Amino acid sequence: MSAQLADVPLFDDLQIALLREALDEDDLAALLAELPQATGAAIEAIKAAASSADLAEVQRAAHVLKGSAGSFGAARLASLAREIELELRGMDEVTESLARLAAVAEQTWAHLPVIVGRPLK
Amino acid sequence: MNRTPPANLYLGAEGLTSGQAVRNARILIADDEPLTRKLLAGILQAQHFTNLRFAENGQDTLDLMHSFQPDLLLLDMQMPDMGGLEVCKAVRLRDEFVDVPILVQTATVNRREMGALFRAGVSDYLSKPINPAELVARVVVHLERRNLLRELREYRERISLELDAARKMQAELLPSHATQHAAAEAAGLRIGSYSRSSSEIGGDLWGLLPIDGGRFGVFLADFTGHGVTAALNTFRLHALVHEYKSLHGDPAALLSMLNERLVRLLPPGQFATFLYVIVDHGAGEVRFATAGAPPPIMTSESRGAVRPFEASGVPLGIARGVTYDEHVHHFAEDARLLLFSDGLSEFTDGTIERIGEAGLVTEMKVSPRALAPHELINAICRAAGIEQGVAMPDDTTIICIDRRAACNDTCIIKAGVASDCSVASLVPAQEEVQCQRS
Amino acid sequence: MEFRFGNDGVQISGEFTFTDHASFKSMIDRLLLDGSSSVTMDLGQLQFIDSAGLGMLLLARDAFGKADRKLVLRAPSGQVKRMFGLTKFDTLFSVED
Repeated sequence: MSAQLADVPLFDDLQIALLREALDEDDLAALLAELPQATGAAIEAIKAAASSADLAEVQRAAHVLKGSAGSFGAARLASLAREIELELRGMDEVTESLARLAAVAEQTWAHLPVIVGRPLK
Repeated sequence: MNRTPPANLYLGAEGLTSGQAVRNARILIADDEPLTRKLLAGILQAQHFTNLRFAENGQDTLDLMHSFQPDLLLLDMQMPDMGGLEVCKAVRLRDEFVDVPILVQTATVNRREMGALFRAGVSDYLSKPINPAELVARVVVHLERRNLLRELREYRERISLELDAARKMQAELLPSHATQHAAAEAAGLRIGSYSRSSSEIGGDLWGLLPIDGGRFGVFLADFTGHGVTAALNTFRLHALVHEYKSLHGDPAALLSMLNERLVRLLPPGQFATFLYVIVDHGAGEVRFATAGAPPPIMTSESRGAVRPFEASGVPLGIARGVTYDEHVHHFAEDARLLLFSDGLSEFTDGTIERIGEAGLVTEMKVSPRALAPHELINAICRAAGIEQGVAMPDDTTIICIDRRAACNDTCIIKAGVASDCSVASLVPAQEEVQCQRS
Repeated sequence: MEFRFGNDGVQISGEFTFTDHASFKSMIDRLLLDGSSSVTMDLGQLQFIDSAGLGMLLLARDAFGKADRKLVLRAPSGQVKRMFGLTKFDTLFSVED
C-alpha cells in the first residue's frame, strides 16, 4: 500500500493546469489557501468516527476528503482517502491509515505555496 | 502582476442568441463540502454565471428548489442527511420540476448504479475530480436544452390560445340560437344542427339566410383539408355569401358567382363543396343546387320513404365558367331534410367501417319516427361511430330540418351540453331550435 | 394507397386520402420524368377517395397540363366512381371506363 502510494505524485499537474485555465489566479490562490482547513476538517471527521468505531462514518468522511483533495489536484491525499473509503477491511487498520493521512496532509499543505507560486495568505 | 483572464470554456455559447439567457440562469449548487461549493461556484462565475445559490444538505436542497426555483441543479451524490438518489426522486415528484436539469457529481463508475441514477431522474453526471471544462459544457448544454423546451412550450401555449380565439370567431360565423330560432319560427318548423372540427378550427361552414315570408336559404360548405388554411377560407366564403344577398333566392346563380370568386382565391388543388337549399314552406318545396356536396337525404312520413337527392356539380374554386343546375323537390309537412358534410359519411377511427351515404339512409329508415331533429342527429352520430371525446379525422357538420309538427307557438331553444336532455348531452356543439306544442 | 407502375402509366389501389400526399406527389414527379405523351392512371382497384384525394388529382391534372402531357383516369368504380359523378370530375378529366 505504501509502495503504491509513493508512486502517486503529491499534486496532479494536469488537474492544477485545468484549474488555472478555468479560474482567475487570485481566486484559485484563495481557494487553495482554504484547502488545509477543508482537508483538515475532513481528517478530523475521520478521526472522530474512528474513535467511536463507526466504520460507515469513517468511509463517508474519507469520501468527502477524496472529493475535495482530488478536485484541487492533491492527488496523493485523494488516493489515500480513496483507500480508506473503499479498501479498509476493519477498524484495526484505521489507526495506521490515520497516521499516514496526517503525514501526507502535512506534505500537501507544505507544498501549496509552490503550487500557488507565492506564500499563502 | 501577471493576470490572465480565465479562458472561455464553452466557446459555442458566446455565438448563441440564447447565451445571455443561459448566463442568467438560476443554478443551485448542493454539496455538503464548503470548499467544493466554492470551487464549483468559482468556475461558473468565471464563465459569468452569477445567479447561484447553495445548499448544504438534502433538506436544504429541497427547500431551495421551492424558494429559488432554479433552472439547473448541481447535486452531490452523498450528503449527510439524504442520498443523491433520494433528493432526485423527491425533486422529480413535483410537476414544476420535472424538466429541471439535474447534474450529479459522482466518482462512481459502477454501471449498475449509473442506471439507477438515470431512472431516478438524473439528467447527466459530472466526473470527479471536477473537470472545469466538462462542468461548464454540461451546464450550458442542459440549460440551452431547457431554454429550447421552454420556448417551444410557450410557443405552443401561445398558438393554442390564438387557435382558441380563432375557433370562437369561427363559431360566431355559424347561425346563433337567435338566428336559428327566428328562421324556425318564421317557417313553422324545427332545426337541429351539429358542428365539430377535427382540430381547434375547421373547414366546414354552414349558414341560414332569411329571404322573405319565412322562406330561408341554408348552405353547407366544406373546404378541402382542415386546420388554419381551411378555416381562413371559411371566413372568405362567409363574406362572399353575404356579399351576394341578391342571389340568395337563386341557388344556381349564387353557386356560379361564388365559384367565379373562389377560382381566383383558391390555389390549385383546393376547392369547396357547397350545397345551397332554399326551404319554402309556403310552396311546400325545396329548391337547391350543389357543387359536389354529399346529397341531402329527405324522409317522408306518410310514404315511409327515405331517399337522397341525387344531384351533381363541380366543386367551387376549380374551374371558371361552371354552371349549376337548380333542382326542385316537394317538401311536405311530413318531411325531414338532413344536410351533412363528408366528415359524417366518411368518419372512421381506423377500426370501424365508414357509414357511407347508404348507411345513413338505412339509419334514418330504422330510427324511431318520433325523434326530434337533435335526437335524430344523435342517433346518426352514434350509428356512424362518432361519440363524445372521439378524435375527429375531418370537420363534420349535420343539419336537420323537420317540417313535421309544424306550429306557430312560441319556440324554445335547447342547446347541446347545456340542455337538460340527456340524449343531447351525448353530442357537443349541438344546437336545436324547437317549436313547443301548446 | 399503393401504386404499381406499368407500361403506359400507373395502377392505384387501396384508399386515397390526405395521408397519401407525399407519396402521390413523388409518383406524379416520376410519371412526368417518363417521356410518353399520355399517361393512364388505372383506378380500377381504388376503393376509396376523399376530397383531399380529389384535390391531389387536380394538382396532377395541372402538372400534366403544364408539361403538355395527357392524363387519363381509367375505370373508377364504387365510391370513387360515385365521387367522380357527384363532383362532375368526369367533365374535368379524361375518364375511360
